[in-house]
Amino acid sequence: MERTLNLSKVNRMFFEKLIKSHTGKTLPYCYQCGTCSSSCPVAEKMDIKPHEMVEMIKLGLKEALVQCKAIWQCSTCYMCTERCPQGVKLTTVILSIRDIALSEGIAVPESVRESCKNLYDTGRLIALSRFQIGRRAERKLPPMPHINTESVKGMVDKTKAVDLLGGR
Amino acid sequence: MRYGYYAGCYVLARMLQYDLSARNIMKKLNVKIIDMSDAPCCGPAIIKSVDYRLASALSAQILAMTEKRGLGTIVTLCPECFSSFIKVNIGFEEDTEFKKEVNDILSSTAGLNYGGGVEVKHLLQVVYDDIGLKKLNEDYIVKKFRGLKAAVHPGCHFVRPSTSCYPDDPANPRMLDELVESLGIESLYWPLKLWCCGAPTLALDRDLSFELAGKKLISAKASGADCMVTLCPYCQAQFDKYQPMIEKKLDEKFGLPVVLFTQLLGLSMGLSPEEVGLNMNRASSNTILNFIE
Repeated sequence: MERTLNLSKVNRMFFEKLIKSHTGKTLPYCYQCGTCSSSCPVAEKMDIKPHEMVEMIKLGLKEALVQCKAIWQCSTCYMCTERCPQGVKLTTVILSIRDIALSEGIAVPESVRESCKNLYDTGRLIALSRFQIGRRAERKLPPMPHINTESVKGMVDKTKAVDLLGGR
Repeated sequence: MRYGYYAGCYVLARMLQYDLSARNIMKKLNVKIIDMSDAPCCGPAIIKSVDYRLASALSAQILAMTEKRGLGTIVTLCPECFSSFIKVNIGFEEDTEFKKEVNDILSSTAGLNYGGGVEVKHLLQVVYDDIGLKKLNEDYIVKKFRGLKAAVHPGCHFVRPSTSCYPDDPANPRMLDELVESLGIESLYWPLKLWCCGAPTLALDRDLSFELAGKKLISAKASGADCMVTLCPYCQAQFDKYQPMIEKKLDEKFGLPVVLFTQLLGLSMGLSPEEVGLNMNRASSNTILNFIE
């Protein structure tokens, strides 16, 4: 990653979108102490460290953030959120950056697409194979009840998730 | 005690020993459950990555279904479901616009509306708070362990990010430790106890995921653990099911049994190894039976 920040590509809307949500409204209070990065189990692998992400959000550097690897390396362990002395909910903010990256078609990891497909088709994130259904019976566990998937399909159709399914 | 029981997709499909041991201990503990397995996915992190409102609407639908069935509390096994539900409850309280947005999706797709009042509990809270360790030991425990040393892994989403809705101490969680200690098991200090197991990155970056899990297995083993104890189906899979693959990747041999807290509890309550699904664990969990008095 280029370490000189290019401030000619500032995206004001990006910052405003993130701080408007109830999970992003504490972003402006970050004072760069670095507690998030020192608490993160993945930071050493990240191309943009957690505390750098927050500063880059504040600078409106959207392009670098939506394209970085780090947002997909986050293990969502919430250690940064827990320890942040300024109440920044970085884990959830990272999920929002993923959301922006996906809706702009920048990166769609196959597992995300598959999860959305399972959700749409079965109402569950993990579709049940015939083998697994058989195993439940063997163990005398109640069968998996049928889910009325209509409501779930409706929800997916109403949100951006539908774009990931190849425009159903 | 009467609760909605939501095991979650992962448990229902791939962690049957958790579903089985949980149902069997609840039966013994006279906890009445209404099965909520016909409710859809909770909208975990991977769905939140796609659209936070979609994920929240999924959670809200389950909570609204719970409410509609006249139940005040929903009990989960999976901390990912647990925290998804809590996030909806907190979001509804903090942000009326968010509440309206989610309810608009919910009413137009499922014909439901969620007010925000369903209490969310993990099964560990039912055992620890609602029954209590004292009553548990007096009335239900028939066998104890002796000489078994455990590295307890409370996982991430059961303790973080802490809010008033979270039951345990985020910096020094004790609930799971106290439960296993009450069964005669020694809960060890181990350095990486609070670290993430790596499961959430499994589908995105397998090497990274196994590296995180590997560090924890090394830490647990080095601390002298005879076994690891989990409360999350994803953590359980990470340390147990994938242990052989992690061993191969790191060129290390752990051979460390990894058990769910419901399995230990069930055994102590007199259930058979089959009734807690011990034979469905991968990493030679049967060795823990040698430690039962």
